[in-house]
Amino acid sequence: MLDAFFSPRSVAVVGAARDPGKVGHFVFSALRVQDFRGTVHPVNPHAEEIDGVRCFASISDIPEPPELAVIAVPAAAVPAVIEECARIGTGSAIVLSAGFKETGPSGAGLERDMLSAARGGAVRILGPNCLGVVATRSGLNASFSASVPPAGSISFVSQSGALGTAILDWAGGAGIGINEFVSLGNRSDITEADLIDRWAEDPATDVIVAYLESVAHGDRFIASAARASLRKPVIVLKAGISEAGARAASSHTGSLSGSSVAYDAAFRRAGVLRANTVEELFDFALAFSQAPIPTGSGIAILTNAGGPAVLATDRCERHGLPLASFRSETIEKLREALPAAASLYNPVDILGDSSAQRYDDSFEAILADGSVSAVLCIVTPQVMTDADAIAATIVKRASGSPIPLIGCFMGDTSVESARRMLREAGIAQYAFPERAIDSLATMIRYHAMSVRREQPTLPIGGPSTARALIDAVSTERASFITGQTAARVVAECGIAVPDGGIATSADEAVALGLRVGYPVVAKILSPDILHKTDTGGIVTGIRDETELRSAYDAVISRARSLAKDAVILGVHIQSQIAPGREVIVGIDRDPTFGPMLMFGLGGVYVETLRDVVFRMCPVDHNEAREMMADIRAYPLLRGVRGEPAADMDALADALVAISRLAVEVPLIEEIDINPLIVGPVGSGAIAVDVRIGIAGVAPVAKKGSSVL
Amino acid sequence: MNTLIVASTRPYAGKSGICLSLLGMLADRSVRAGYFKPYGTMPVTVDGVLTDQDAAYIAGKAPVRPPIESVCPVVETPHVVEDLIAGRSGDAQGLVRSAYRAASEHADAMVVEGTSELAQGATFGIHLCAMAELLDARVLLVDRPEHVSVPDPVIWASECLGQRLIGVVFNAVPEQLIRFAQSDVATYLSGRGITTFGVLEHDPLLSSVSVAEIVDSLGATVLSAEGNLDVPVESFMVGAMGQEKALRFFRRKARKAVITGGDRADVQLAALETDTRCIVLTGNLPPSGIVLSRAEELGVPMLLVESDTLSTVEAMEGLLGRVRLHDPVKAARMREMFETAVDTDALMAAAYGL
Repeated sequence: MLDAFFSPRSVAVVGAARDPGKVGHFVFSALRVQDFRGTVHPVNPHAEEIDGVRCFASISDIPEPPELAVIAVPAAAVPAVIEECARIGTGSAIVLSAGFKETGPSGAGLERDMLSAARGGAVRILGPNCLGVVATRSGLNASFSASVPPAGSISFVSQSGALGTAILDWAGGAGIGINEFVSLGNRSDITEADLIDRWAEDPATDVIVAYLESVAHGDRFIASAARASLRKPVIVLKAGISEAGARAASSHTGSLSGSSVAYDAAFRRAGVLRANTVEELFDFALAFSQAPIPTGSGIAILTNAGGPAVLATDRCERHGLPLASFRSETIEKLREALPAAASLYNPVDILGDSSAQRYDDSFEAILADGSVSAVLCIVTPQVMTDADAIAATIVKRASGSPIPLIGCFMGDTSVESARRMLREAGIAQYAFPERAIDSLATMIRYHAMSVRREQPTLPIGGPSTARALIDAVSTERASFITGQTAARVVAECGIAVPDGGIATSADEAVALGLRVGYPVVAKILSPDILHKTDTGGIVTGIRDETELRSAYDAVISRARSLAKDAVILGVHIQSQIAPGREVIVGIDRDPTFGPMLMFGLGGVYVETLRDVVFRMCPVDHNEAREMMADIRAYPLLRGVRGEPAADMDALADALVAISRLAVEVPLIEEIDINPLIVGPVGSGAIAVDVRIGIAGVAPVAKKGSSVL
Repeated sequence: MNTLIVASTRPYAGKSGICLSLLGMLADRSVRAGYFKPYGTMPVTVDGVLTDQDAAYIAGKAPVRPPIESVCPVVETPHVVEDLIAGRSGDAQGLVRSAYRAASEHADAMVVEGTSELAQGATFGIHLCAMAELLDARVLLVDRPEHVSVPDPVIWASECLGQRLIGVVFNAVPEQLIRFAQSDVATYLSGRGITTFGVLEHDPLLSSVSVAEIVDSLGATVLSAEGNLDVPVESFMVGAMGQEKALRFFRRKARKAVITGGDRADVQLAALETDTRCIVLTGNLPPSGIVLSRAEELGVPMLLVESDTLSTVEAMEGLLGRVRLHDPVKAARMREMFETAVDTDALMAAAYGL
């Protein structure tokens, strides 16, 4: 898959230049300097030879069509070069040239011309406006990167080319081994999903790492990442998550940066591990590429100093990871091997005067303990510390161990050679304990994810009546369904709603009151009033006709005086529901990943407390249960101080049903059920207030008759 | 000669559109119909003659074209107001009478666009009731109800006009008030001897402006999708929030213009995700090239203006506030709606005996 981009037998550099100051010269030289074994042909109509290599006037003059074209000519000339590639059968092209979509509509036109010259995939294109490809196995450096990192098992795709080359430069010094690196540029053809597909199948890649400001195609990304993450970790740094950062990313990539919660939900669905900083991205990658993945969650900490071990322990707790509880045999063994002042329980503090032998004895005991899934070994430099000897012990113990053993040599010059020893032996290590624990925690999370991964599926059939209802009200303009119609839509999905209807006069209200039975609730119905309580738009506990008449007047008068321009559609009369836990269930359609299901504590405090969680739709009952447990107010659902628990089965049914409705009916942009009142176990959940936002369908042109 | 004054209870009720529709219907019946507007508030000079902007346009569409100087004899300008207050003005009634004579000379039926409020023109002695007497005309009242309320202006007009009032048309009625106007109010008015000829629903297309009109009015530079300037814009929204809120916010309105800064790429992209007809970039800050490419791809014009957001908003409010019937598509749409919703036979019979 995409092999010619990484190990071509022959490469043409179109726009190769004699002038060392030019990109075309640099790329041509870079391809020849490394130990790349393929043939490299310079293409330039104005040169006979470059650096002693025969130059061709055009790519079609090369006797045998090259497998890969690296293009560095001005943007306007690129479509013709791609056309030529398509004609002679060169199926892969890296377009380094800038001046396309990123510059405005005329550049976007050139990009379209370039794609149509590629004849529907006869030529696969990386870029344009990218910094190229580096493949350490084949020695290929078709990029602007001045340095090529050491070979390794991390494959890295970056939407920012410059960030990528900076990392390649840094990787060598940091002991990070790279297999393949790709700069995406404008993603006119090849996207991150193509590379994830390739690396999922590539035995030389152990870890897939990506820096992304946006995802090109949400569905494809999730499908590719979900497949890949079952085989190897996929770690993504998503930039542009703050408001200002999103703006910066948007003007850089031309796509909405997307909401952070939607990315979290999508990554969770796809099994993608999220890094929050570049440092984390490569900390995690390093751990995955050099240490075996822990198969449990018990971490053991071995240290020659108390403070760093306490920091590491704090960090474990923050990740919700317990320290391993040693078995009695382990403690016995440690007691025999260690001085009396040592701390035998996890974290094991073997004191400042520790020798390499003391570390080795401790490893022997700890690694044999079945409750230990990972070991962090902390070394602080003290006068009596022989850091090199301890490093040698770690290398010996780590090699061949199925349990990951991570090093943390704190300090600088006194531990420099020890660190080098670990680096050369390919043992993951970190300068500070927190980073080491963060990396171990990520590995543990990956393992946990891989054992319980299953994709929720849609049942056959679905809420077809609900769909028909929405189709019936959808017009050419976007609108909101509220009141009784919205209630009917969710009722069709099997969610209970209070009996009621819409009144446009006090007489109608009274008729409804009689039908549903007192007590009733009167609520203002207006597409312009989102927060009804703010405008005094709800009256509850109405007991008879007199009260209902005055409530009808009150909600309309208040709405008119407080929201002058609001369109008032009537008053929604509903039977009053017994109190219960008020939760909110919602849908928000993300432009990249589609409908997101929201769940949280409901009622009037939603906006203030923001105790809500998101998942991609559809969800199954397990995920619905997980969502409930994820909110801070979960104990309230379970019942505090002798309260009965809420009917969580009914709540889970509602979450599953709403998530399916959003998938089934793509016209739905938003749903807000607030509150959904959940009664005690066995008594169900009732959607009291429902608002559905639907997208406009394509407008039908109106035919006008002539006026005079 | 049969003369019908089309007057309204409040400004922007849709008189001009109804006048145009009536002229069209009279033309279809081969009636030589003329147009006259005694009192104008939108001064414009045509061929050296001070007249009213809408009146000049509508008169140009009438089957019988009056001389331009007699289309609108009294035009309210600061100068005219000063003279009147200082007691320097002449005989407005006489002015109207002679202009009307000239305007109606070759016509068999007249459509007179009356005042926008019942009291308008009273200072000149040419308020609606005086005018009806002066021109010996019948009156069709246009009312635009906004919420459930009693029809005070209609009743008041009926008491002043007596038999001269032939009835009322409710125009631009919000969807949720249609039933109220059609059954409750019409039944009540009928009980008091007032005919309701029809109820026209509010149509956002009528109060829309084209992107090209926005470009002209704001003096904007078009940066993308120059081929899509003729699409109608029905509303506008100002984008100053983060991208997550922007998306939910922009979904609330269709066929809109979005006003934001050129540096707000996130807001621009969110607007492009929703039903947006053009994006107005304020403060003369050009957008990023890649966002511009996206707008071009989606066919959404991006308009660059020098003014700040506040003044742009004010200009847009002025633009979208009223119906412009100079656009033939809108005029046609207005007539189509008028003929569908109004009992035109009854109206023609009551107004012109046709």
